[in-house]
Amino acid sequence: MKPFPIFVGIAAVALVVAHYLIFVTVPMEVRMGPVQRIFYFHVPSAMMCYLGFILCFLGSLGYLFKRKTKMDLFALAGAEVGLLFGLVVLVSGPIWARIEWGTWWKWEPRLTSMLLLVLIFMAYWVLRTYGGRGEGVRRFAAVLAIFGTPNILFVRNAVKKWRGDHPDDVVTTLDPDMKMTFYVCMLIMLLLFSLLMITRYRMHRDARTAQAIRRRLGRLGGL
Amino acid sequence: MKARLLIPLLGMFAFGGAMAADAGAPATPGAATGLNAPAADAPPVEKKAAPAAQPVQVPKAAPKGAMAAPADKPDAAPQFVRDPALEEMRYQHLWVAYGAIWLIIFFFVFRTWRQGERTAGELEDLKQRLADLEASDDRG
Amino acid sequence: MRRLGFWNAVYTVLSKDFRTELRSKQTLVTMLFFGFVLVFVFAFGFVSDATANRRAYPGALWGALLFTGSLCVGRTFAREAEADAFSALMLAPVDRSAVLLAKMLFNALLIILVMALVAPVLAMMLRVDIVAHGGMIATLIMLGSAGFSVIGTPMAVLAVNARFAEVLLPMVVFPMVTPVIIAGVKGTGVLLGTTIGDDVSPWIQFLGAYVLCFGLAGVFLFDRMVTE
Repeated sequence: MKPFPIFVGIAAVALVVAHYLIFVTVPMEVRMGPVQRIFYFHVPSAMMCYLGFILCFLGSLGYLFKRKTKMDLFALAGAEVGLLFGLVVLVSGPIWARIEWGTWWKWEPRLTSMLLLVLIFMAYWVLRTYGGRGEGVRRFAAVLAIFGTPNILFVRNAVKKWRGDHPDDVVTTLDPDMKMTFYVCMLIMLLLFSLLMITRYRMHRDARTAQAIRRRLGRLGGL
Repeated sequence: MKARLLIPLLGMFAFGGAMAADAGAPATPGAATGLNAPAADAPPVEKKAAPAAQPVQVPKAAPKGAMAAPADKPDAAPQFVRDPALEEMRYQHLWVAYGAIWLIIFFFVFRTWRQGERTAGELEDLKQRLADLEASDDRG
Repeated sequence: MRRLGFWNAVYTVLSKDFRTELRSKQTLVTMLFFGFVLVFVFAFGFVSDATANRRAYPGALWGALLFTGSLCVGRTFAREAEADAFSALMLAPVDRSAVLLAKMLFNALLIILVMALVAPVLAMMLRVDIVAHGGMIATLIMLGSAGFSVIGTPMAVLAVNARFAEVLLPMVVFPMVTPVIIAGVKGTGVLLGTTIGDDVSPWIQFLGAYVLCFGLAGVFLFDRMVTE
């Protein structure tokens, strides 16, 4: 457990650094002005959201084929953290959109696909939390995650092929200062993501162990 | 046996990717706002054009790194006039966005921490009881 | 016991379901009734001038498909559950994927049958002319029903194990099936002239790919999904 508090400390410092970079150092963007700075958290959050869901997908596959509890817990942690970042994306996006497009939401391919993806994994989460315990529910959720993940492909390709309004491939055309800030924010988000994954995984692992011990105590007549 | 299961899975992804790549769906209502293929295909060109289009209108930082959003048309001059009310609104949106992001992350971390502490405590308690029970079994 | 071949098994289960359904007509009648109730509600809620009616038709049609579909898919194993025959079906000496395929086909056919009656009635109530594009709309509905069935049926099998299955199954199926609904609504809109675009084939391609993609995945992964 010892390295963990250090990890938390590093993450905290990194987040402060990120905010300094975003609000003090990076140059102001010409057209959108201050609102463009949302981009430095919005885009890395989207990447982390996909990462979380892909990890959930891998964990679900592993659970379905190998029936290992660790994979199942890993999948659940991935879904939860992915949902967190998905929520961040869906909240920060419309706030930016209000300035850029004059409206909170548009039914264009990328936004719709992102919303759908988040809805699918929200269903996954509700299923895991309220669908009861037992192997059957875990299998059900695993299949849901496996079927739901191909949606990510549609999100990634949506703007390019379906010509939506959402900006695409901005990063390569950025000014060097902004690019550096963006990559730093990306790394910091990755750090935050790993931290949260580890924490959630441990929490679920402890809960599962506690469940097993309770069952054992019940059998031994200690409860 | 495993190949029989994995190949269709990979095929599913390939199909999905190919479909997403191929689906030349008819232009969505987004086209109505003036975006179309030519604009989407030429952001680098527009980026080079944009800085040249607003030399002295910006009193603040030099026009660096205009984001290559497809709607970045050189004739959108009114956007570059620094209207203080508009700037104020933009700053407000920025604060609200980051505030919301932080609220969400903080709420999640706090809940995780609380639940984690509770679970860890329960686990310790249960482990203790199990150890006691097994010790008394050994004795008795 | 002689092991039944794949397609023989599919045919056997399919014909069994057809015969049971024709005898009791439980699912079909409930679906039809629900479908018509929805049609009345939508028609009452959205009826206005001719343009507004045309705009409302695709949404109402595919909304009706969504809800009648969930009813159908929720009852996939109802008959087996009532007769305590679910385990028997799963343990039968046939390829389990054959059972799933048969159930998928059966559900798709039920939904198509119901929509074949609901779509014209909705068109009549909203006074929209669909005869001009009848064939294409029928194709869209068939593919959409297949898409719904292909996702909903495996989920229904798995939902047997979960608590509150009647609530959780729709909750799980709706987001997964939304691309089908979107494709259907856009495609129907294009045909009726209420959506931008003049070609419905991309949406048909999309639906076809969706059905193939998830159909194959479901059939191939089914053994893994229900291994005890």
